[in-house]
Amino acid sequence: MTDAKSLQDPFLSDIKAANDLSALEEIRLKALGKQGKVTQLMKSLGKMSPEERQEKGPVYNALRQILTEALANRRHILEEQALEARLASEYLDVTLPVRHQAEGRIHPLSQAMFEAISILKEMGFSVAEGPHIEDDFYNFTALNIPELHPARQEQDTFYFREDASGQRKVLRTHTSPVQIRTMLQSKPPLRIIAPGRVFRSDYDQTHTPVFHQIEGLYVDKNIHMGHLKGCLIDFCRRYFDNPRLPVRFRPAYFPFTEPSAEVDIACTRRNGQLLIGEGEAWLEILGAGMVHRKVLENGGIDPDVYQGFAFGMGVERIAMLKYGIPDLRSFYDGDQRWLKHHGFGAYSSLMGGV
Amino acid sequence: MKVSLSWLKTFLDTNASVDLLSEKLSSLGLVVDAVSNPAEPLRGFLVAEIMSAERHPDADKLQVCQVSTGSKTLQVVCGAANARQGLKVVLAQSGMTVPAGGFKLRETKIRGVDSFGMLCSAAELGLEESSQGIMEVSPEAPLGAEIADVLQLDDPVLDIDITPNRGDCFAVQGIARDLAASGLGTLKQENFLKDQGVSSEIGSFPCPISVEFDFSSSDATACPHFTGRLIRGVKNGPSPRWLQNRLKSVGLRPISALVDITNYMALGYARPMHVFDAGKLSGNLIVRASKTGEMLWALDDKEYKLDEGMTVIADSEKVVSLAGIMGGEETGCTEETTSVFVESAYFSPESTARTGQALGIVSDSRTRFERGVDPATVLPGLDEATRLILEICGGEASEIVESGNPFCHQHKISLSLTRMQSYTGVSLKQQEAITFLSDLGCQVHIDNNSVLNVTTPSWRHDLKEENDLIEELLRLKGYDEIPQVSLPSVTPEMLFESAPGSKARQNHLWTARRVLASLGHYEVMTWSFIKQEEAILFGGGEASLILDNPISQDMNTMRPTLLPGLLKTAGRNQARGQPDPRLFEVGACYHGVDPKDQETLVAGLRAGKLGSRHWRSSSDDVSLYDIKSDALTVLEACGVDVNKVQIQQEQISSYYHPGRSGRICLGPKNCLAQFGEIHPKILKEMELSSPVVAFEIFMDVLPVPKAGSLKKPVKLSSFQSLERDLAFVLDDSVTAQTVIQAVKKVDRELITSVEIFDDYKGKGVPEGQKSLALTFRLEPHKETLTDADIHKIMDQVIDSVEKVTGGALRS
Repeated sequence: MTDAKSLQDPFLSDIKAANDLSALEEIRLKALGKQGKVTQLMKSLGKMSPEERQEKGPVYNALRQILTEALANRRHILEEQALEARLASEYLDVTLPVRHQAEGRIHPLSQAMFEAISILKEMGFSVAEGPHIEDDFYNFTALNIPELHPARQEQDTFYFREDASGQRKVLRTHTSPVQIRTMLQSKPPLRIIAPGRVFRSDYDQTHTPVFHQIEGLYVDKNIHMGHLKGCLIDFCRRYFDNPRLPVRFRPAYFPFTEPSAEVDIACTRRNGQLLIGEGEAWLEILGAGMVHRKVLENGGIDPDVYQGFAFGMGVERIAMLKYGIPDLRSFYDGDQRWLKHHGFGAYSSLMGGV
Repeated sequence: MKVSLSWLKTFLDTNASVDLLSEKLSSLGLVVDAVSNPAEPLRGFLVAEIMSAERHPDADKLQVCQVSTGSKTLQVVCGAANARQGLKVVLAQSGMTVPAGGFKLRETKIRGVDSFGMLCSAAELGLEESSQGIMEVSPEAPLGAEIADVLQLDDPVLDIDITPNRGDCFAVQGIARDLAASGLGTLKQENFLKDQGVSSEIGSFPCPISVEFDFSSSDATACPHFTGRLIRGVKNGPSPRWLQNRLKSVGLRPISALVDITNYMALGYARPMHVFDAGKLSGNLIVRASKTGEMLWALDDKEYKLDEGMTVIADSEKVVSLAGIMGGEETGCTEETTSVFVESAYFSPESTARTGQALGIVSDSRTRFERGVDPATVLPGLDEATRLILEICGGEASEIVESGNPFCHQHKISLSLTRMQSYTGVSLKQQEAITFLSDLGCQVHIDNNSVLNVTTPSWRHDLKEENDLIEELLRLKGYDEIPQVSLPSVTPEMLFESAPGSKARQNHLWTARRVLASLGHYEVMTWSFIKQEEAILFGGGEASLILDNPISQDMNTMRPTLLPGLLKTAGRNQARGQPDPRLFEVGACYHGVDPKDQETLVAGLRAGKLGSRHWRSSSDDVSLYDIKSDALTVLEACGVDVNKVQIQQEQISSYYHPGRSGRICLGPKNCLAQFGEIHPKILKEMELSSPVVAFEIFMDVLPVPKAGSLKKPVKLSSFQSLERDLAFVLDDSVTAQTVIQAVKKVDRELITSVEIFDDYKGKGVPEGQKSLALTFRLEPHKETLTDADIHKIMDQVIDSVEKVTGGALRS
């Protein structure tokens, strides 16, 4: 029968010397396994007299306790070491560039259009639509632009060839024909905007043959020029996000409104960039006026009962001003590098309550 | 329209600065585009005298001059032959910029001799196009004076944008009238062109040339009044300096006294006139409509072929002038002219515009007649021109010949200030309104209802109704007076839709933009018109959609689809070092000229590689499956149930690869989209390299939710769901869609999804066949499936697929 004391020290030194978990397990089996030396000692207790058991029992139990604790301590140390080694071996170069989720862009004109429409919708306007290929009637005649009028020549109209009946369709030169279509389709009160493409035969530094406008029309019984002014000043200040933006109304001429106005906003030029909202210079951004009696009549509305205002603005211009885009023609070039710079990401654009 | 300040001041007594004048004009609706002053570039150029001029010690052609401005004397080396002692010259000192060359002067040594400035030629000062030697200033000019002052060049010029309704403002006097009415000065009425009743007294002999109308009744309104007279014994030469300066100041080149006088009448009074060389006219003058094929060699040195019905002035042989537009070269005045016929008439805006537009002639005369000339100036204009000709060219005037009658172009309009207030929000006192209207030349009477009865002046063709007068009052009062009133709140019945569902469709377009941008596409906008050949390639190009007046032949036909523009843009990007463009456009396409023929598309393309080279993954070429995925993602975001769509491979547009393209349909007839590889022939035509894949979604046919329609409540199963895999060996021609549908139809409620996870051809699969492996999901709703249930379903699926496809389970 081995003495408990003689077992304790060799086992303890073996445990201390064990370098890995499998060596430690071997030692555990030798000491505490089924056939282990300490297990054998414990088993021998059963054959002892009560007195002897009384004496040896606590000694053997203490031995087992000491070895169990030593094994657990050593296991903990070895596990820690193993984890550290694993972590060290699992190092990755986190600076390697990831594959970007390819991010596209929304065109700045879409963004500008969306922002303007959102504001106008909040102001109570609904969106109306009309075709790009128009009858002379809707584009000119109904808008009080007679055939030989100089105003008609100023518009650089694109014409289609005459059809069998001698009619010549045109590409709409403005969004104003939607006014007529809407008036003929619905009864006042009318409170609509018509955003969309328009066309003029002019192509140089400051003109593209395709561009975009947003038309507005509000006809009711008592809508006067003060409403027009309130509406457009509110719009300009909200669009340019400047509650104190100076806005000026000037007399102008459009055949389809009387009185007519052009609307300027304050700006200044600094380091080649146009800054909106400060300075002494004025920049024209809108045309507007009270709908001409003849236009109301042509739209089937009695001008002695109803009156109202209309306005039209160029989307390219307000986009250039708001986003600092210097060249009009770049809108239509489709250069991906330009779009990446001036366009809007899918998650940050087209926000607002449409 | 350019107006010089000095000319303006002949009609307007004012002390206002140019800045104030131009601000006022803009606020009156006469927008000043630019203000320039010819004196500005000459500031600091002084009158000096050459005190001595000696030969340069080292150069035969140079002289060393001592030049005095009165207060100081400078040494200047000068190469001009006419530099001599006692001459008054223009001195530019170092530091100043010479106008013509734009170079800055510096102190310098010329061949070893110091030179502290430069003696200028008229060309260097920008006063003449070319000149010889240095400019010789009049001996009376005071030493040290600014040359701009000596030459009276300090005369600012305003360039004013005249709107088409203001024919009266194509005259310096018209602009003066608006300014005076706005309170910026008083009119010098005596200088305005008006009937002074002297015409009959000037004529000393009967006019040998008579004038008559020969109109059919339909043309008669083209010229209601025509007058003229002969002046004999004139001497035509350069006009006097004052007249030349007037014309030069507004950018017009002086030609000869007779021509300059007519230009002066047009610019100063909006009274266009014409002067014929009477010696070159045959017989009498007839004002009539032209006949087809008549010709005129006009003063712009071009020959015009006339159409039927243009208003012309003819002598007994031929057409000699296009009425109100331009005279003929052959009967024009020259230095040799000694006898002239002066014409002053009224031609209607419509007639002038029709002829001017048809022949494409732009002239100062046309601009004015087209916008409406004051008919009351016919005779006063003739008198004033006669007076000027007699004064400048001498001669003797005949009596006047006349056809038609003086007429007046005035409207009587009732104006209510109450209505003005309800129309503009601005209230005006009656007396204020009367003053404004009178200042504009209106006659105003008040009736007992305090309505103003207004008679408009003959020069204001644009004032026809009450609203026109309201605008005049508002203009003079100032648009700043209009109150700023917020809009009344909107009521639901004011919300509007152009067509049922149009709001949902508009929103689809915004959704499509967001989705495509999130998928990596870039939104572009391209022209709505393309080259006809390209339109034909893409199934369009009909004659009815060709523009009559395109910007260029490359932009002459309305696009049948967005793809040509996208492909061109892709090509441009590739040429600029962007090899893998991902582009989309939202826009209209055209299949005819009627509104219903316009269609809204969303189209996109991918070219080159799917992504750039990267350490983590291979970079594949784009495939039709990538673009199909793009299209389906957009459709799904727009509310289309993509589990219900069918892919069809028939009736696909010819610009797609026939074997690598498909249509996405909802039901057999409703095609929502097309996608696929672009046909190699198209790529070749458009000079693009493959691969390019593209889609087109026909946004107008996407379903929109019916108003008030609700989704069915969802049923969520609480029983265990499971997935099973099967593989089939199938004929190559069997499509995946056929297999998936064969699986689904076994139990549409239980089988909730079917995915293909392998599509294999090669070793182990016979030639001409393929192995398709699929996984499907079973979601029971009533009870958990037993093994027996699952076996039964599996057998049914195998059976269904084998029956539909003729294939077999892969063992």
